[in-house]
Amino acid sequence: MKKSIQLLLILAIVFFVTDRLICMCLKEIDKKVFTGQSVGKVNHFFSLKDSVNMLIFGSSRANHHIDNTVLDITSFNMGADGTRIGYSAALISTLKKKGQILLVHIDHEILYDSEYDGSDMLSLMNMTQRNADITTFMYKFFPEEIYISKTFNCYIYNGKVLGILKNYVDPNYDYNRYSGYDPLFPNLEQRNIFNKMVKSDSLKLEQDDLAAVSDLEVNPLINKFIGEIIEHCKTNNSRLVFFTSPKLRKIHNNVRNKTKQYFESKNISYYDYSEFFKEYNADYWKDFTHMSAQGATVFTKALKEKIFEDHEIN
Amino acid sequence: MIFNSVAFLFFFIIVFTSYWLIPRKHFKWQNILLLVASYVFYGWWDWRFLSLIAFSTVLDYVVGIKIHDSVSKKKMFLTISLISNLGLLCVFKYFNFFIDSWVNLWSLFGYEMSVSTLNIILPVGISFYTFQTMSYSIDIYRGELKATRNFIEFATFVSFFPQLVAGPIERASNLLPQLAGEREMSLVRFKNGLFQIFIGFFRKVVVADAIGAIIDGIYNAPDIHNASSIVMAVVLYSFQIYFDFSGYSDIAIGTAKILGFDFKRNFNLPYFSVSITEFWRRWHISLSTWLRDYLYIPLGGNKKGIKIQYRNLFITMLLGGLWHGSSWNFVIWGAIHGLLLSIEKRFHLIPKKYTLLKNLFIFSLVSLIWIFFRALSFDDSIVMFTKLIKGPYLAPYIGNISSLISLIYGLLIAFIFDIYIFKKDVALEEFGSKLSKFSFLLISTFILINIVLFFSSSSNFIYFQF
Repeated sequence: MKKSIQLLLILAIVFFVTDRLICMCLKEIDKKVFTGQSVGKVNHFFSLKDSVNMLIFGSSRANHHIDNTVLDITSFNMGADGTRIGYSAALISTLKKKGQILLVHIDHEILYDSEYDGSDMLSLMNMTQRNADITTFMYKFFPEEIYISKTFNCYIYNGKVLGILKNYVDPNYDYNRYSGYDPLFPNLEQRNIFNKMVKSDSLKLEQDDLAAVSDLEVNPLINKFIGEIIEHCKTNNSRLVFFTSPKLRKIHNNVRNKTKQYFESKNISYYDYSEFFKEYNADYWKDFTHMSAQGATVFTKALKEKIFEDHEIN
Repeated sequence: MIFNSVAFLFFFIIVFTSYWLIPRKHFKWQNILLLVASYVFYGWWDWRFLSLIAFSTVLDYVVGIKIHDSVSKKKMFLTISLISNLGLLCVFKYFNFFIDSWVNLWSLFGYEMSVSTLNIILPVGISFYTFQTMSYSIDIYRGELKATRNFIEFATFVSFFPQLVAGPIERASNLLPQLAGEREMSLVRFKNGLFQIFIGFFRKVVVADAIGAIIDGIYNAPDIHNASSIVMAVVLYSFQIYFDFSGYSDIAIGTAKILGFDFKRNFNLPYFSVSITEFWRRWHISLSTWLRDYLYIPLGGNKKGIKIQYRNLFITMLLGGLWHGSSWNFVIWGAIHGLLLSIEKRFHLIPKKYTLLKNLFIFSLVSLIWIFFRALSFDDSIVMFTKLIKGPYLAPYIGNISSLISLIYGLLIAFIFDIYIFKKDVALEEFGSKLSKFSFLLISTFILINIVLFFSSSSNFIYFQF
C-alpha cells in the first residue's frame, strides 16, 4: 500500500509539472496565432477590438451573414460557429473603446431556450490566463471551470491544440486582410443535399418551431447576459443593436412580436430580419439557417442602410 | 453518477481513501462502505429506482437461501426468482415494445387497436443487475454455488458500483468469495488497475465521444447523406461502440482492481477476430458467456444434434439482441449474428490462424451489421444499405474539420495501442504491472495530458440505455 501511494504521488507530481510545462509552451504559441476559428480569430479580435468603429457578435449566423466589407466603416465580424450570447457577452465585457457600434445577433429560439446554460463562453477558456476581464466575467458564471483550469492548466486548451499548431505552422489566411466575415459557397453536393431537404421538408417551411407563445419566457441567464451587455455599452457610450438575420423557416408572428416587445422594454434597438426574403431563392441559401455568400451580400446591404439611417452615419 | 464526471472523481477519492483507511481485517466494514457508496452512486441518477435494486436484492437473497435449503421446492423458488427478475425487465424495458408490436401485428390484418402505452423510464443498469441476480439463483439451483447467509455481502455483490450500471455482468461465484474475505493491495494490482482506468478514460472521452460528435448527424438523417458519408459513419460507429463500451469496462475493472477485486475480462480486442464465432468470444465476454451458460446450454447446446445446435445459436443470439433494447432493430441485429454463427459452424468457416484479409472481412461484416444496432429505425437501416449499394460515392460530409482531426489523432493512438497489445499478446488487465516505474509514469502522464487536451464534452455511455 505504501508503495502504491508513493507511486500515485510521484505520478501526480510528474503529471502536474508536465501539465504546466505544456500549457506554458502552448500559451507562447497561442499568442502568435491569428488565424483559425478556435483561437486565432479571438486573438485577432483582441488585437483590434479597441480600434475599430463597429463590431459584430453572434453565432455562425452572424459570422456568415454579415459581409462587413460592404459596410464602409472600420469593423470586425466576431461571429463564430457554435457560439451564442454568453460568448458574445464575455467578449463585449473586454471592450474599452468609447462610442463603438455593436451589432449582436440573436435568434428567437435561442432567446427562449430554457436549456441554454451559457457554456459556449467556455471556448474562451484559453483567454482566462491572458485577459483579466474574461476571467472575471467567466468566474461569475462558471467558477468551477476556473478552478479546474487552475488545477489542470492544459484544460484551457482542450480541443484547441491541433488547431493552434496547424495555424502556427501554416496560417489559414492572411489575417491582415481578414474582416472576420466567412462567406459560404455551397458546392454542388451540398446544394443537392439541401434541395432534397427543402423538398421533403417543404411543409415545415411555413411552420413555427416554437411552442405556444404564452409559455415562452426569456431564459433568465440570457436575460442576464443581455443586461451585462447593455450595462457595458452604457459605460462605454457605445450604440447597441440586437438583430436577427434571415432564416428559411418562418417564425410565428406572436413570437416575433414578443421578442420585439422584450427589447423595447429594455429600450434597445432590435432589427428582426428573419423574414427578409419573402420568397425562397435556392442561390441565397446553404441550409435552413445559413445564407450563401450571395444571400449575405444582399442582406448586408439592407442592414447597412438601416444602421446608417438610424445612427446617422454618412 | 457517470464515470466521466467531476462528481465521480470526488466520489471515488472519498470512497477509495475511506475504504483503505479501514483495516483489512475489518473487511465487513469495508463492505458496508461499498454498499452505501454504491447506493449513493446509483441514487445520484435517480434515487427512486434504488427500490428496484433493493427489491431484486432482497428477493434473490431470500430465494437463494430457500433454493439451497429446500429439497422438494427448489424449482418453485427458482421460478419465483426468474419470473420476478424477468417481470421487472418486461415491465420497465419491454412493456411498450410488446404493446406496440401487438398493435402493429393486428393492424397487418386490418384491425386498428387503440391501446395506449405507458410513459416508463428505463432504469439504468436494470438489464445488468437482473441478469446478475438471476445467475446467482440458477447457480444455487444447479448446485454450483452455496447461498450466502450474509445479506450485506450479497447486497454489495448486486449493487457494487463499478459494474452496477453497465457491467461487466459479474458472477456470484467470482465476486461473492472476494467479498467474504480480506482484500489486498499490492503495487502490481495498483499499477494494473490505475493503468486500465487511464486507458478506459482515454478510449471513452477522447475517442468514442469524439466519434459520436461526427457521426450522430449522419445516423440521424441517413436519407440526406451520400454513400461515402454512410461508409464513414458505419466504420466510425464500429470504433465508437467498441471504445465506448470497452472504455467503460476498463474503468469498471480498473476501479474494482484498486479496491482489491478482480473482475472477469469483458473485451479482448474483438476487432482482431477472423470469424464471427471468435468475435463473440472477444466481445462483451460477460454477456456472451452468460447467454452461453444460462440459455444456449440449457437449450441443448451442441449436444442434441447439429440442427438443434443451429437453432440454439439462433435463439440465443436473437434473445441476446433483444436484451440490448426493446426494438426490432436489435432483434434483427441479434438474428443476423445468430445466422452467421450457424453458417460458420455448418461450413466450417472458422480459421485457425490470423490473417489480415480475414480480419478485415470480419470487421467489415460486423460493421455492416452494426447498422441495425445504431440506426434510429428499420427504415433508416434500409436507406443506409440501399445507399451503400447504389452510391453515389461523392465527397463525405465532414462537419467540423478540427474535430475530425482531433478524432483521427485519438483514434490513431488507441488503434496503435490495441495493435501493440495484440502483437505482444498481453492482456490490458496486466499491462500496467509489466511496465517499469519510469515507463509507467511516462505513458500514464502522456495519456492523462491527452485526456485533458482532447476530451470531448461528457456524454453518457452507450450501454447505459440497455
